[in-house]
Amino acid sequence: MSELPLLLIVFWAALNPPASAASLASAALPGEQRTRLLASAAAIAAALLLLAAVLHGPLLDLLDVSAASFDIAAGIVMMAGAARPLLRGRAIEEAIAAAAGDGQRAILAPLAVPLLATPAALAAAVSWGERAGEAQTALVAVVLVALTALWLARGPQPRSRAGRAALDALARLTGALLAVLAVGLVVQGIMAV
Amino acid sequence: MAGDASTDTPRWLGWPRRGWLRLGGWLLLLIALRLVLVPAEARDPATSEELRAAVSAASEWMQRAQTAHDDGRYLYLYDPARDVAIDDYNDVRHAGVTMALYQAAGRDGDLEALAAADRAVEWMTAHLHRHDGWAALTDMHGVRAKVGGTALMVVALAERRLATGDPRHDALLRELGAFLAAMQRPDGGFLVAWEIPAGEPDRVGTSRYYPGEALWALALLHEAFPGEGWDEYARAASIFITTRRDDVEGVRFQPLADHWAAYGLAEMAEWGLSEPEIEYARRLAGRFGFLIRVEMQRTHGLFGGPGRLLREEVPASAFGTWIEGMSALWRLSTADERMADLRPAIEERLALGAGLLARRQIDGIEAGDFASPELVRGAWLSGGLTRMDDQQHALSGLLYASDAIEGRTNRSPDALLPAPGR
Repeated sequence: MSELPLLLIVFWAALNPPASAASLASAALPGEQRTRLLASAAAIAAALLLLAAVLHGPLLDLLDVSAASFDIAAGIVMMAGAARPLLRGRAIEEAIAAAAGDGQRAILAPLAVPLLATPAALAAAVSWGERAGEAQTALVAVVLVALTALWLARGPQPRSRAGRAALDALARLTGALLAVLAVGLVVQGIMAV
Repeated sequence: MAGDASTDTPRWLGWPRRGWLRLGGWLLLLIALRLVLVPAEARDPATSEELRAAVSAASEWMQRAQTAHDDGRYLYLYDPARDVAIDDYNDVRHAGVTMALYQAAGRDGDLEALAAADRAVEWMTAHLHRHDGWAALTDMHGVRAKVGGTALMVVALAERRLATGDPRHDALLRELGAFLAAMQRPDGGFLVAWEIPAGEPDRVGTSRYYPGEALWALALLHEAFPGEGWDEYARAASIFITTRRDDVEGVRFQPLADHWAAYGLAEMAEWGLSEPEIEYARRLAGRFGFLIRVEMQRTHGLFGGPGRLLREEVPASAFGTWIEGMSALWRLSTADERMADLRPAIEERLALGAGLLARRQIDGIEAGDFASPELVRGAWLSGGLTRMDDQQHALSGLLYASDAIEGRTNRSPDALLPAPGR
């Protein structure tokens, strides 16, 4: 059976677009510059996730760990990545998000990493690259990075209190989903042969 | 406002200080994970020749260890640094070591190993209690007959029968089997022991491993004497172990790493296993896999093995059981398609884990550092000591792991040994 639906859920949770949007809501990113910067950041983030998914085998060999052991570590990284969205409704701290207004310097950090290529997504790319196949994993990761970047490029949002509350709730729920997936990954790592 | 926030943010090297701290936090997490949870694993697979050489060396240790007593017992617990044999003995482990010795004798075609194991059987036949048509192996003092000891005596005699084709112990095998059947509870579990002075079973004590030992013994009895109904007792035991035992015994981290149950299920594979039995076997493979992986991480990785800071190497009496259990499940995976998808992972884990275990065996050069090298060569040390079941479990585990590496699905010896006196 295709793992596509699960991969979509995993990378949605790991990238957490609502939490990223909430983080950038107050960043000084004017419209045209915002689109250009996010496009560049998305290209870098997609490349990193692509590499993580495709090079999972050599990476595990380099570390001398089995895929099951890596899953345990990846699950813990994902749990750590779930904490801020779950507790604060944000992907990154405001002080770090504010650096997104630094122009070109902001492309690599914080826009590409850790806002788009989150540590959780990088860990998930290696884990699921091993279990679901690199092509499928890389494709899903890249598509979701692109969609997240498109969402963020739409500009500061939302303006209404209800809209902000909904975004906050969605970010926290997605964080909770990531935490559940992370626990599942740790359990699978422990139970695997 | 946003622009103000950006300007006011404290920075190091042009990037927000909080960002550097956050990056440092992630790096610390990754370093901690690498040191504690995912250090490098031992990744040097064993060859079957290497494992068979370790099996032969362990078998030879058992034969030399029998010279410590003149009644068929083995050297039980030995401190090689002080050259002291610690005064203790255990009837269940005696039966287990004898079982392993027969396994090695059959595979190596080793008549001296067969003779040594036969002497050990004489000790057991001198420690039998008979009652109501059954026979059971007693402890040293003849006051208690444990299900585990009797079950492993059955397995040892069944291994002898497989190695030699000699039926001389068939009547005794049936008597011992009758004890196991008599001790089976209605739920398929087992009473733990028979109290000889009281003339009744111990209805209070329990054992986590005795049901698995009894399961395998009863399955082997059915293989030896088909049509006599031993399979019904074995099936009841299997259902108990695979569906209830861990709850009854309060096992917190389930399933219990029960290699005896794995042997039993592998023996029963040709009878056909139920879904709950297969589901249990799959979970059991995961448990053995996890334990072997953790052990593989203990001696390798950063700084020569950070795991050593947390815990000593596990004794071969434990590590060997994980290899035994995984080897039995490998055999099951070759016989039942519902386990087949696990076979590649099981084979990889076995090759790596068995290699690690074999390389911990004391060789002749290392043994030369001790006062009595002949009591150390071929043994495994833990905490500076070796106990006879270190060799037992390592021997059985490595023997059957070599089968998995070779793809040898038949557990029995290829040729029968000539039994003495036939």
